[in-house]
Amino acid sequence: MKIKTVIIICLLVLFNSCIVKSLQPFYTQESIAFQKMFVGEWKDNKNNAWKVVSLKEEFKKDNKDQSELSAEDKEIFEKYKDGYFITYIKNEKEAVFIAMPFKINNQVFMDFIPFDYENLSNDLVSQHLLKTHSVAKFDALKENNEVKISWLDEDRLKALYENNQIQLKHEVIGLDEAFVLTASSEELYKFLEKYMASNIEDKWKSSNEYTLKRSNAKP
Amino acid sequence: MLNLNPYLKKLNNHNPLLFNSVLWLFSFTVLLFIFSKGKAPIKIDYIYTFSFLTSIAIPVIINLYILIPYLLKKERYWLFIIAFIIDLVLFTQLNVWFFEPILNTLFPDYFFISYHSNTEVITIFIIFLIATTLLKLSEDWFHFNSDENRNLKLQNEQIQLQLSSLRSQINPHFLFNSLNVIYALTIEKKEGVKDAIVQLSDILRYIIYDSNTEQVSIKDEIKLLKNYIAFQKFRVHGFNQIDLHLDIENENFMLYPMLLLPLVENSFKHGLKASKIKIQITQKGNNFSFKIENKSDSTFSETSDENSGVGLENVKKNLDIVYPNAHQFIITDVDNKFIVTLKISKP
Repeated sequence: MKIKTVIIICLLVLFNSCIVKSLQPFYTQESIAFQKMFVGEWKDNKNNAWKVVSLKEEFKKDNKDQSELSAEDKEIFEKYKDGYFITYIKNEKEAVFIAMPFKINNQVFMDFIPFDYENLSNDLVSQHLLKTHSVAKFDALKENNEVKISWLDEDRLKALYENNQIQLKHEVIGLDEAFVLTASSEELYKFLEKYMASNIEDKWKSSNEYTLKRSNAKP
Repeated sequence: MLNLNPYLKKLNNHNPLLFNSVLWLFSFTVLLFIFSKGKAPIKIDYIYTFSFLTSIAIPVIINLYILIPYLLKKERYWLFIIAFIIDLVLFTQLNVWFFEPILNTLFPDYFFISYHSNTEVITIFIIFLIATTLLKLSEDWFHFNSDENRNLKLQNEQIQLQLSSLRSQINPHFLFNSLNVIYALTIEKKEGVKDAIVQLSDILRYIIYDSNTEQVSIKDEIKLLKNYIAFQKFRVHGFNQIDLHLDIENENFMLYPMLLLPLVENSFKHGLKASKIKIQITQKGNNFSFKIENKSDSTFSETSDENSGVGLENVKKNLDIVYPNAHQFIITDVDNKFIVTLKISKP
């Protein structure tokens, strides 16, 4: 009975559309472009809360005296100073992401990686899970009071692989045949560049599309 | 610098169609394997490999059909190295700059991403240009080697033909002289004509059959000489006194056949009648020497026989072929004393 349940869950995962996951970030250091307008509190179309803070500001708050930072901390600071600390609250449960904004030909993208989540209280389970990167197209709308975040959908990429139209390092792993990109950040950036220029229809149509409105925005 | 010129210059057998078919088919297979990362190749891999091969073919063709024939084969080694480096650097950089943009324009629906880095492009270009240069040189060497072998074979055949021709000149020459002797014996009805015929028969058997090998023992050659000297006893105009001195260390010392008989024959024929003929044969280690001395009859040798010197000339030609740079053949004719010295040093 239990095996049957596992198989059903796996099949559901298999046929359910997911975001594209990668072991490496989708951005290169040179492409990072901080978007100050994204800082603030937002509500998405499903009424979930998004609290976005600048990582640089957060670092400064925690470490008022920069000289106290260790070499390792300084390295992390340099790497993520233009990123965001995003607290996503869904059904009163919190998940924290680090998001890195970057640009490809004036189009802004966000690279997401989970930082902390309280859903998985079981330590043993969480130790088995690997944090992967995802990428989303980021569009600021209505005088920066609204943003649209559209994640790159796995179905789009799988179609390219099925038609033998793409050579990008990846692996299909596990019982649920999870699809994960293993290419370098430079290769992923190159892929996005070409994907943006391609004629693929509905290339950003995704089951994970969020429209965020500023919480304190005037109606 | 290594002198490659002798074999580089010889190139008549290059088949461009076969050479290029094999080269590019093999290259396509290797690159396809590399670009598909050892997995079963898919459509995009075939497109990429073909396009990449096209971009690398230009510098390779320039190297094979311009740089190698016009610079390397004409011994302009430094110029070749400089041109080779320019060819390599220029086309590698052009590939880095333009290959992917052109490919993306030609195939907008394909995503050529995880193939190689710029460093790998440079490595592939270096390996390709060096490997194809070596392949071309190997092909040239292969043809050169075949030509050389063919030439050696031809030369060998020519030498054999020459030797055979020289030997066939000795036999009739000797036979003609011998028949003259028998004829003279018969006319004079001398005793021992039968013995003379038997001895002549032994000599001819040796000349025709036994000497028809590459090497004979010194023992057999001396036996021939003794037979010949015994046969000469029956000559019409009296017998020369023979002083044969042998100093032989090894009787089985091998020699090219029929070198000595023409010298003895020459002394009997052109020496002064009833005079003494001195023969000294020495063999020690790898050295052999033969010296024959007789009183010469200059009036006879200069005027009466048009075949005079044919035997000596044949011996000289034979020695040049069978003992090149390993023999001395000296003829002196001073104060009516005719001396022929032959020295052979085996390596």
